[in-house]
Amino acid sequence: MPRIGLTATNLATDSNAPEGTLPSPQPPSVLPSIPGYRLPVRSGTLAPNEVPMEAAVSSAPKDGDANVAEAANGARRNAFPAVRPEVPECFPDRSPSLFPKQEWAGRVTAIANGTFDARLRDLTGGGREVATIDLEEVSPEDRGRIRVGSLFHWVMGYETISGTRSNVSRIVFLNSPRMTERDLKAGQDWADRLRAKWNLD
Amino acid sequence: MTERNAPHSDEAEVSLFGPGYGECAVVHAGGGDWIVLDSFGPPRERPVALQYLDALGLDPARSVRLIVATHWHDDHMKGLGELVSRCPEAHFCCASALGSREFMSVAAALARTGLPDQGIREIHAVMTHLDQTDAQPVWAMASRRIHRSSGCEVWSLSPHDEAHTSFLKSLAPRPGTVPGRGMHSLTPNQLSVALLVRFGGGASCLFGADLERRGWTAVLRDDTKPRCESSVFKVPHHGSANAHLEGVWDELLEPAPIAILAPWRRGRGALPKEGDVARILACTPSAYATTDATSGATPRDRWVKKRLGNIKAHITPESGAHGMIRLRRAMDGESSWRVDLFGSACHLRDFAA
Ligand SMILES: [Zn+2]
Repeated sequence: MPRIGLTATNLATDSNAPEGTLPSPQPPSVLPSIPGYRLPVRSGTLAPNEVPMEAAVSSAPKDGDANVAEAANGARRNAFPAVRPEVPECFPDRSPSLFPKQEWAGRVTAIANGTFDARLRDLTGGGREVATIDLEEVSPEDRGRIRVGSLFHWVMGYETISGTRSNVSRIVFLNSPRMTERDLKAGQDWADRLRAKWNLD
Repeated sequence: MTERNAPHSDEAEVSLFGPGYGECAVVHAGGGDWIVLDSFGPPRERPVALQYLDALGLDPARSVRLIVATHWHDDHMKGLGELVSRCPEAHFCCASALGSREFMSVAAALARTGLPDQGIREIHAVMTHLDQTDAQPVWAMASRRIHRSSGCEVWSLSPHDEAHTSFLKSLAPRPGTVPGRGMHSLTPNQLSVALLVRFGGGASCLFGADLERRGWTAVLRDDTKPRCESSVFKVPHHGSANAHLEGVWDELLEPAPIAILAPWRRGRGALPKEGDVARILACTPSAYATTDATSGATPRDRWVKKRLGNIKAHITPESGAHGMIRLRRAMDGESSWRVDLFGSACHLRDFAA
């Protein structure tokens, strides 16, 4: 498996951890159940009964709910006909002596004031989270890869090197897909056709 | 009376949903016609508007007449594509700038690369759906009536030409830059569609979307907008100070209107802040938030919790506790709005900023 990420950073104790070839981490095979959307009745100006608003929970994933873990694993859904996501097919390799305790797949949503915001998918416990992460938590050589839309893999755990155990937190960015002239041309063609159909010219 | 009761045919309803990241409003326009503003849904669930209408025993396919995307930020867009596809009787409305060649080309190109964030992906999905069903958007702009039914009319009050033009300029490819790169750094708040909903009996509601101060200044200056003072105000931009303008409260709202807002929480950032809460409460004592800002932490291994405490990152669950503010009143006569709070919704004075 070729390395597609870049240098990992070891923030806790060891910045020279050897790189190896463990298989890519996978999301949990069975996603934890997410309870249905409920609005238990609470205090209001009236006193409604204690009846939750039941709502069906569809078992199938939703189109609009594409998530970074699946994208990063290549198990992507063809959410919309015109969407052809091209994201790296695997996570970066990591040290053979790294024992992960917690892993996330993330996508950057904003960058500001020495931090970046990201949507996270918890690959260990399941569930979705959001985070503001200091740029310092990313290795200097990786910081240039941080863009809105960039995918990353974040692992916390411990590493044993020559019998010495150290805690690690590594955020490794995947190579972002780039927009090509061909993509832009196809986008323009789509826009021109639809705008003509909608009499916008 | 429970939340499962649909409003009477001659009863207006304004309901605002928000879990702490996400905002959606549904409006009963009278006569069984519904309007949906923006969308969100809990992970792997249907958009909250569809769930709510279902819970009321209504068929969204037959009852939703208008869906408005106020702007394409993620917190207002999740599930929008599904919402539009499930409501074939509804017109879809968004800012006219989204129909520009610049926006559409870049959105489609980004979609091809898999780069776009959720908001742009949802807008692109909606346009693809409209194409397939031979429908087309209603374009929102300053002082334009975008919808009329027997029970109400809806006006877009923004965006103004200036915001439209500067947006298109910002999309133009610049030498040496990747086309479309600018899309991510734009703040679509300036293109937010603020809406005025006027009900048959005379009551009206002002929906502020995420429109910021500059946009409101243009709204106030515009003398072609309909003249009326609203009794309900969906406070813009989650209560942020950068969307507050005294003139809006003085000129566009009744004294002490009902103010409703959906808080916003993202990592370390959160709105409204303590000062925002105080400012809004100084404008009106009747202010409500869709959630009380308590967000449960994700249950986690003790080792991981301890390590997370040592690094510079702040993590919160994507969706906090869900809540709904519901306002109802008879369409005609002098009746006033009745406020019901559900789930984690609270009076703004109880909001923990
Ligand atoms: Zn927002």
